[in-house]
Amino acid sequence: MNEIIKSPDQSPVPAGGFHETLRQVLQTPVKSKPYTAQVTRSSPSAFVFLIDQSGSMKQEVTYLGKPVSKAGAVARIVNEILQEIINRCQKSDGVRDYFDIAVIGYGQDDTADFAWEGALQDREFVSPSELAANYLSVETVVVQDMVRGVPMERTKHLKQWITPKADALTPMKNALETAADLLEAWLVDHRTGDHFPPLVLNITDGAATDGKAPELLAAARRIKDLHTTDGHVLLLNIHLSSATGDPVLFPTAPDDLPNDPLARLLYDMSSEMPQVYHADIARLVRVDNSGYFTGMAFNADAKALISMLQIGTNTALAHTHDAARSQP
Amino acid sequence: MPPVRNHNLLAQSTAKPGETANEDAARCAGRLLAVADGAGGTGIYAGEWARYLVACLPEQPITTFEGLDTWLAGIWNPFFDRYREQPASPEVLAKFMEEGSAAALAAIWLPENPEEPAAALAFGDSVALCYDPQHHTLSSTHPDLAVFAGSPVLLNWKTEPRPEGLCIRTLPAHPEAVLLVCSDALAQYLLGAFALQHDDAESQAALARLRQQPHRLAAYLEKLTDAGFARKNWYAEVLLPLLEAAQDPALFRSHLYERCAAGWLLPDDYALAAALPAGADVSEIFNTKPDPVP
Repeated sequence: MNEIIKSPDQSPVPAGGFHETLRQVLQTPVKSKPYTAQVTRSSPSAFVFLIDQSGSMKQEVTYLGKPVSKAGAVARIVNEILQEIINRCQKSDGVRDYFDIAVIGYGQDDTADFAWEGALQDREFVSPSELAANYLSVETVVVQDMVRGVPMERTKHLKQWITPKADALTPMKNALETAADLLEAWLVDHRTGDHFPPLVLNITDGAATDGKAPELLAAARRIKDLHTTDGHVLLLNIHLSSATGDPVLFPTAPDDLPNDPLARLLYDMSSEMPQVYHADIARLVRVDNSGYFTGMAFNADAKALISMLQIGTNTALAHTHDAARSQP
Repeated sequence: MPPVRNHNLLAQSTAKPGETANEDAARCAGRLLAVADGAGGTGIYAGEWARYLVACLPEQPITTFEGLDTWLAGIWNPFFDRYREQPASPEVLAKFMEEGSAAALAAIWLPENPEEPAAALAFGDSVALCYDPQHHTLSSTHPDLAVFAGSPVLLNWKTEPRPEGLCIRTLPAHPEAVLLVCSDALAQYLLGAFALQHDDAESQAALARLRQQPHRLAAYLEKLTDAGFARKNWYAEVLLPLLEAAQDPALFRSHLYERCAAGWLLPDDYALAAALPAGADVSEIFNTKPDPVP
């Protein structure tokens, strides 16, 4: 009889049976109406952020009208998205854990590793309630809320979990493989039930230094081939290019991008966006719903980057059990 | 408010399976049936807001958008003051101030004179319905199922209501009519199951279009279809068991949870308020009516 190992939050996995269990998970077909599962505490989804922390991320860009390094801008944006995830999970009695969240940084020491800091250091996935309780610093700003047309001032707390880092090379392949390993374990842990598929967001400004195009495509394919019964894992690539060219969000064809080999590679690595995302994407990029969008951004400015990340995350957030509804 | 003479009223609400916090609310009083569905995805104190809305509904029907706007303008401030001052974490207070509290609302005011129609109001995706057992017709504030595919406009204390969120109409209130208000998951169950039985080309084409969409409603309709709802007797197998169960909170909960487990109901909080023909045992309401389903 096999020894039984208890996985963190699911039924036991037979010892030595991880690969067999994963194989069974991936043999289960995706349902006919994918990306429709409700995200609940008992049926969570996941976000994995891959952040390029290589030396080139020191390069200065303008973010919200101020000069800041690419690394600084990306950290601020990821912190905003993390805050938004917590906010969507916030109830009057506490923060509900609808998601598992991981951040993988690549560049430091020429490797990819989990990028949580402080009390969350060395953790892989963390929950929204853990994030809410364990931040690195908080900035207090005064904001104005409109209440039935009347402005009301209050203080707002901007929390920080990720700090800017920019050093060394760009081990992107290692980051993709780390994400694939992490998600394979997540799929085995969540092999029962109907889970909204995890979303992987890779933010980079340069060419990988640890693999050639075929290897990177294979690493990306490994992520995209993973699936729950509700659909395949989505891989979105955000290219903060130093090359000239107009920003491109969710291209419909490779020719939408400049003739930049790295941009074309990231395009090929990215997921085709499922139909459930199309209406939001069409609104963002102001085109008719073409029926085909690739999950990639080229030269996105900060505003576009936030929009893209919001579209990526909001569709999952909108599947939390109460379904996000119209903002006031 | 004098009680209604020709109907018996009931109201039930329960949290979704696996949850204890219920963000829906149901109320029947006098001639009023009301439900509200607090939106967990936007704002905070959703259940409190839903309960507050149904408790504050006036005795006299709201029949115009201006009437709704005036009513909301007159009730929001005590709720705002109470929850702004309530001890809470900075995150809860921030969400309250940034997003407010949001809910869908549906109400039916039964007429004093049964010859007159009932006044129905629906804001967002809570629904008012009238089933006429004589003709096997179902009138609704939301005849088009497609409304459940999108994000509804909701009532929020923080902002003035938007006209596009409101549906006002009258519903037949003759003594045999069954009038209901319910929150969205129950509405999709009742309306979806009913729509599947219509075999006219237009209804079938509308359902086929919905099923081709990528949203959760399409997946849900597919489940109802697979479960054979097109061949079920709607009032004997859908409406009647629901009304029978709604006589008792525990029965109501177990009835809905069973259907949820079978995939026939989306997991959600549920609220129902209904007016049944007076003097009739629920199980006998439709006994004399012919079965329209082959």
